[in-house]
Amino acid sequence: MTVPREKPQGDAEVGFHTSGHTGKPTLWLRTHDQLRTEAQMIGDVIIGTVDRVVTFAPAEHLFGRLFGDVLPRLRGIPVQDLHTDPTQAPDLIKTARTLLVCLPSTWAVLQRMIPRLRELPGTVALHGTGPVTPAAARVVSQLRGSGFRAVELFGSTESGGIAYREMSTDPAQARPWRLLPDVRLVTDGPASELQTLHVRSPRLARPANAPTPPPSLRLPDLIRPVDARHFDHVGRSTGLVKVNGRRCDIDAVAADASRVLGTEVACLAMRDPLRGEHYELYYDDLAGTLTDETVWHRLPGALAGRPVPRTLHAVPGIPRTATGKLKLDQLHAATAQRSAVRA
Amino acid sequence: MTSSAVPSPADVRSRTRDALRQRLGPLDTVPDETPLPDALGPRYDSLTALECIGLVEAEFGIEVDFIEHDVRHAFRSIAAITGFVHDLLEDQASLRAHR
Repeated sequence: MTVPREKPQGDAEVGFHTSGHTGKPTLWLRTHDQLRTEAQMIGDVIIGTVDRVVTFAPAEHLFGRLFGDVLPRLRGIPVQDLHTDPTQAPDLIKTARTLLVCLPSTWAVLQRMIPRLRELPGTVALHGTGPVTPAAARVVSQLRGSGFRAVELFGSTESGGIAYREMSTDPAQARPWRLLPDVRLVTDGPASELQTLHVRSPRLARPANAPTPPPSLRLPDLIRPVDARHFDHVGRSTGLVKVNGRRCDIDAVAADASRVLGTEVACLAMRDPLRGEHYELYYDDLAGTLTDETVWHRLPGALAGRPVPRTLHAVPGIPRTATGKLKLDQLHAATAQRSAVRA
Repeated sequence: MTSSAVPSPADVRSRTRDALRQRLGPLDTVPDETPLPDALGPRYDSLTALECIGLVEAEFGIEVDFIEHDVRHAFRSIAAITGFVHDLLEDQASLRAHR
């Protein structure tokens, strides 16, 4: 447990990487002012007074940096950093109001500590972008009426925090996202129609190859505005998944894996009860030259640090439409047939 | 329940392999003593270990205490999991016998 000290930062910027659509990291720069403003605003609007922080998010990522480093520095409160080992239980101090900086996987640990969490005078669990996992829903449900609050934060490396909402235990009952005070929606068409998320904010990051941040930012998320300050999130418009909060473009993974394995590859997104989202990798083994073992062995060369797939499926060809879209029903049928033969 | 109701280490090992198969696929070529990260590489990261803990808990009706138990050590290999689970089942059986 350490108490980070606030120190003068000058004008230097802090860099955060995203995976980028080609698999090559893209660098986004934020000023210290932007970081402090964001941590302070979210601290005031969402978190309130806390005496200590337990973080499960790495400080190399914006979410972990803001709440596991910048906010504790601003407030002079101690931090327990558990991001290197998601199986490690936090020290919970009965007299301390605690901020838990959570990734989707964190909830698998917290659900084993419900009696201890109930004893705390006040706990705020800040859930970084990612779907609410079954474990998160169980924790929130079982701690209802205690001093425990769970808040989802929506944002990205490029945009910073965009919106928030109290976590709901039932996805069907989830409230709309509420914009943070300094964020504005840019609506491109009729206000209530489905559109890509497009925002203005003083906290947009600067791409390393640009002199200034963009005036507005369009994200790969599909939303439906509820009013000027709220929206419903409908889905994503690209092959992007967040594996335990870590962004991964599975279309780029498929392209890179195809090249390394020398066979056609497709990746499908899936819900994951621990990581929030994940993906499965299908490879064409019609030639009979590949096995799961060889694919697992060669994949790291293709992934370049991106998350490994949850599972592999060998299929006799990747079925596609004339326009190149995956024929999901045929893909699933081929997988089921292969599994039946193996069993 | 008495200690005789506790499954043998061989049973625990066999059921552990079956439980882990759901997540990790066949482990026939992985020796009991080999550290799973060595055998499976990046497939067995700390999050996968967390999933395996859940599978083993469900299989044996036990609860792993992340504060009291050294989870990282207990789930490093099939032999380690077997020993950990068997000890936990014996402890539970003893507690029940003394109530």
